[in-house]
Amino acid sequence: MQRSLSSIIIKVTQIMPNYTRGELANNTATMNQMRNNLYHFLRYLMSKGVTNQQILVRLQRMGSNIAKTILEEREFTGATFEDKIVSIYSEMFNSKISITENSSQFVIEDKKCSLCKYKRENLSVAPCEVITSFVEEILIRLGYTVNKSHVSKSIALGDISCIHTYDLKERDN
Amino acid sequence: MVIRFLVGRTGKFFGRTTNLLFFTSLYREMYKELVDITNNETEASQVLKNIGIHGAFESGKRQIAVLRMFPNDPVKIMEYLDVIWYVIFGAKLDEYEMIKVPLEGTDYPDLVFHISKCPICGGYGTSSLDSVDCNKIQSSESYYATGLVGMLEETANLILEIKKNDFRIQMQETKCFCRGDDELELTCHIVHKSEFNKDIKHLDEALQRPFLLDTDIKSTDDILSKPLEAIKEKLISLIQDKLQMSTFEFMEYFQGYEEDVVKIVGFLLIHVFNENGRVIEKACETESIAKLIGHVYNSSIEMTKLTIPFDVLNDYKRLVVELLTDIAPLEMIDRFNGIEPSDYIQLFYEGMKKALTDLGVNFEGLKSNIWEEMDMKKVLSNAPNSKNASELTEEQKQEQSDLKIELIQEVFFLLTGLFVLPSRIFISSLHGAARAMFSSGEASTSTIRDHALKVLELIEKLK
Repeated sequence: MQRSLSSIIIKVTQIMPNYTRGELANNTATMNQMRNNLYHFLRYLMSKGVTNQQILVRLQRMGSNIAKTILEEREFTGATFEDKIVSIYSEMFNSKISITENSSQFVIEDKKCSLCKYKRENLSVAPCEVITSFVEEILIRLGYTVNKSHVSKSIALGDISCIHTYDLKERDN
Repeated sequence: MVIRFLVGRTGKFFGRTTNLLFFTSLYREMYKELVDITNNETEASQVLKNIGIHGAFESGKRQIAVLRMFPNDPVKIMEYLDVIWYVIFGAKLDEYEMIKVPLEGTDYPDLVFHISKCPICGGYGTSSLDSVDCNKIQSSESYYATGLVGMLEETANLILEIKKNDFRIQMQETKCFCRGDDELELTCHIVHKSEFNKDIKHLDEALQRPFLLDTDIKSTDDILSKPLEAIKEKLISLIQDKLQMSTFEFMEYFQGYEEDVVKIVGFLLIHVFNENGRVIEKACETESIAKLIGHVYNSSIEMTKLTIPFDVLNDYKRLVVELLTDIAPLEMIDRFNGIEPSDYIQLFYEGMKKALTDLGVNFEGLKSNIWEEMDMKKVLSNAPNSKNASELTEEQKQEQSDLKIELIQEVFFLLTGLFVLPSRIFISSLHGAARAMFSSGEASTSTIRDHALKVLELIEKLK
């Protein structure tokens, strides 16, 4: 009886499609395993002789592509630039950040970066380069002109927090 | 149910949550980069599965306490696929079905999982950025969810490693949404570790830390002999130091699940004591001992009903409520107050039973009473229990019978000590005179540990 019922359930759900990206965008996942996977992915790249600069380029490409996918499903709003940045970090990474403005440069400190929980040995490129390029892509789509974004400090590289810097050419608000 | 609840509740506050679409998009981008580097989708699939394996191993090393609560059987572990899935994703596994496919000449059947929804593949193919062509991956490998397969497989195998089981699970994604199939299908072959075609990772024994508490179990006596306020302070300090959250935030995760919390306490009590040298688990490797434990458990429930008056049960309930006052939200305390005193004991024992089942006690196979179960004449007779039994002298056979009687006695003492431990906690916290009696060591944790070590010593002598 139980087997028949479960078979019926499966048959019914097979008519239903898989998750849509819209549904995924409105749900959460635990980052622990994926964070580890990203680290081992970087180790693989290093083992294949990919240089640090090339690794950086790949991570930036990844972050930018992720942003393009996310932006197809959701928006990031806020009255000010700071509000928007806080919204991005909070909604995507569950991070509570602090922001320091220095002329047109914005320095974001994240003490609990979702991609950099532990110090990693033999690593020269911060995993959260994915995040800075991700955020940069979103900022560009929101109408900001970003000269450069980069990771100045990273927990994975032995620092006490992750520092992400965004150089804006001009502020639009 | 207990382990599903425990993992579900604790996973939420131990895990770091992020957006699920970010998670799956990051996965996609890693896969794309691997295809770009290898220029071969099949090889990229193998690499990504390996990455999932390494990632899960690293994560599992930090969650040994949780993984240790799983059963010690490959099929039973896979029956908890939804829990393992939750450990990996922090998200619920939708409807799925597990089918066992018997195989001739093997110890275990193949297991086939039909999973109705896969977040990894969710929405794949709707964007020009979805460039991994799963149809180019050889059918002997996993397809788009290969990294997920690596994570699931390694988590299950890590549990088997922790349990010192000789079998391993080989998992493959045999149907994939990204190939046009209408489900995620996972096929598991259970093989002896000598046939496992991958490097088996071994846990450093030093990583197998005590369960939950860094406090050595020897110091538990100190905690239990202090007044209630001291226990409360220790609990608050533990939550704030280890979890970096207030007790209210911690207890809110369990709001609405108060009965399950009581079960969890019983469940954890057994596992905490098992932590010390895997005492209960090792004892249960001997079938007759496992059955004995089952009968002592059943007898304990009856004894509790007969010997503990309602007023004392009510005192236990008041103690729980008093302990939680100023720690948990008022609504929770009201709900704990609403549970009947006799139900507390029942729920507590249910949790203990679940833990004992996971550690190897088969309650369903027990006979109606212990004497019939043990067939005492046979147990105490010269029945051989070792390879060299036929070579034993009469004196040696008598010695073995004496050891068996002593073993049965020690198991009774051990289990009785475990089952009355809650009474000790409650009574010594409330009544000073009773505290003095218990602190004489008759029911202390060190005495329980001594009996446990004696059981193991006797089992070794009988081998």
